Amino acid sequence: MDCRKAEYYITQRLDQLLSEEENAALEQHLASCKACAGELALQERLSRTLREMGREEIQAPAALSSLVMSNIGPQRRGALAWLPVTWRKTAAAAATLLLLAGGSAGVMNGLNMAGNGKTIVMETTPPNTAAVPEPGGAGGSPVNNDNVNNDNNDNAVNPDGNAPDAAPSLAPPESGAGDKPGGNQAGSPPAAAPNQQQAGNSNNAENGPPAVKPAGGSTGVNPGNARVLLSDDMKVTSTVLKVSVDDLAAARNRAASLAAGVGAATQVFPEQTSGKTVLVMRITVNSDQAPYLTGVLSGLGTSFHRQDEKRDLLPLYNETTVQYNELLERRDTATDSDERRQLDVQAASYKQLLDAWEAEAGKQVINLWLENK
Amino acid sequence: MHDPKILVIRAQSNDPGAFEELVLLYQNKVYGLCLHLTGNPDDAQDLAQEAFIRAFKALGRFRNEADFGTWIHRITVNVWLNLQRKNNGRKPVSLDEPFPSDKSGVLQREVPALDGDPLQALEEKEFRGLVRKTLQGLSEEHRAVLVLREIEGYSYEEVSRMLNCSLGTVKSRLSRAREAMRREMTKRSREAGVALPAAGESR
Repeated sequence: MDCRKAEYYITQRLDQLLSEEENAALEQHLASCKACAGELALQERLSRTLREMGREEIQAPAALSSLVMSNIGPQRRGALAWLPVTWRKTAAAAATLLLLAGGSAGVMNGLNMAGNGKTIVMETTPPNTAAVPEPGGAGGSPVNNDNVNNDNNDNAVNPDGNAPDAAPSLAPPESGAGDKPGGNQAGSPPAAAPNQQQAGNSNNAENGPPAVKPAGGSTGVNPGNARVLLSDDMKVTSTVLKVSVDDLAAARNRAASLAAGVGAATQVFPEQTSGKTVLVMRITVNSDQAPYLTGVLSGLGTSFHRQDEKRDLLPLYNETTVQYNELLERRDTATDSDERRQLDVQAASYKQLLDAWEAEAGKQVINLWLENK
Repeated sequence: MHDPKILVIRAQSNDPGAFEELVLLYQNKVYGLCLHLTGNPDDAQDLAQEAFIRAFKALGRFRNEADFGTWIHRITVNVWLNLQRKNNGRKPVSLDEPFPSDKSGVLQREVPALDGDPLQALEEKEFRGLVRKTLQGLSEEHRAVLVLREIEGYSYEEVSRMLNCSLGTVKSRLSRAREAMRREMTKRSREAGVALPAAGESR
């Protein structure tokens, strides 16, 4: 062996990639070549030192996460940018909580699809996502963007414009919506935000009511009268339940029918594959039925994880109510008709959020995680 | 609710809170890599921030097949590489020289023999300090491959996927990087040799 080859073998040896024969050949060379022996010793020391550096606990600066979030915030919720900061913050927090709690609006749609024998994959409810996270009139903006851009997304575009079907930002990755990193998921760059807002809002003016219409259709689109603050509890219990099953599709259908059997509403998130195929269902059930349902869902397969969490939505509900009432006042005093329309749309999405919370209050949300055995 | 896979699904469903949880979960891991790549806290923070923002934008393309941590590391290293290439003008001297191409098979080493090598005499702490310093002087390709393979402990296959190059390229680049690292360390320690009491005494 020459030094050149030994050099290569030394690298391989650092990664334990040498066969026994190769190792023996290297050893033979090292025995007679001081330079290469020294090289190996140093490389091993270097390698060890680098590995030790990798094991050091390094703490990220405390500000990092908030810097990240404040940077993606404006891009994501471009249409919200003109709202007061506290409003935007609440809107984001509200969206998070609502997603945890699981909005019931639009859920029946998913069940209907199941009944038709179609896949019950429903890209979560739009009130949680497309409309609700952006109550400040942004509700219609992503929806409309997608209606325009996303012709290939059958799920996303519904001529009737019913909110549940118009959840394009949640389209499954295969549909292409998720494959545009700079597109729908990411929002627009900050510079484009005002335009997007304009476009969104003017679109809303035309298609506004459908885009923000609560799924059930039972509650009106137009913002109603000012609300009163609630003083009673708005507690929502959520449970994460993980079950591994033999047949994912069968378990999904079984879970949906079990849920429907006790009058619970179900959303199904797109399947994700990561070695195992995983499916997440969000089931909203009356508290008194929850123990039973949790029990039978656990029996779908081998239940291997469970976690319960209680949240009180009341403070957020009340804060949002105050803002909603303010919006209504602004609308009533607005003189410009465009502005009025915008405020109407915003108020409608706030109302939708509040309605959804009211519907969730006292219920239990079961986040059912199904995975292939 | 801290399962990364669930958080990813929720974040992909436009739940900003879920993405924030992902950031909190992975920020130390990402910042650590950034620190090793950039060598200073300020640049590391900027890089980590940019990496998370890119990750957020590309979240729709992430299919939860891979480990989220590996994915964000991949983004981080590529953001850094692009940045370095853009700023090529004020890059430190590149050490990305070809392997000694002497076909005779005799490696042209600057370091002669074991006993004459000042590196051998360095204490652990000094050795580590020299490693850090030297790492920052390496070309970005060499640094990336060393940091990913040695410090972060990724396999050849993972490194090749992260850097979008073949396994063979990773292997030869790593080999060159180690050689360049060692050569530069020897050079530096020799230059500083007289000024390093520890090295002088223990010899």
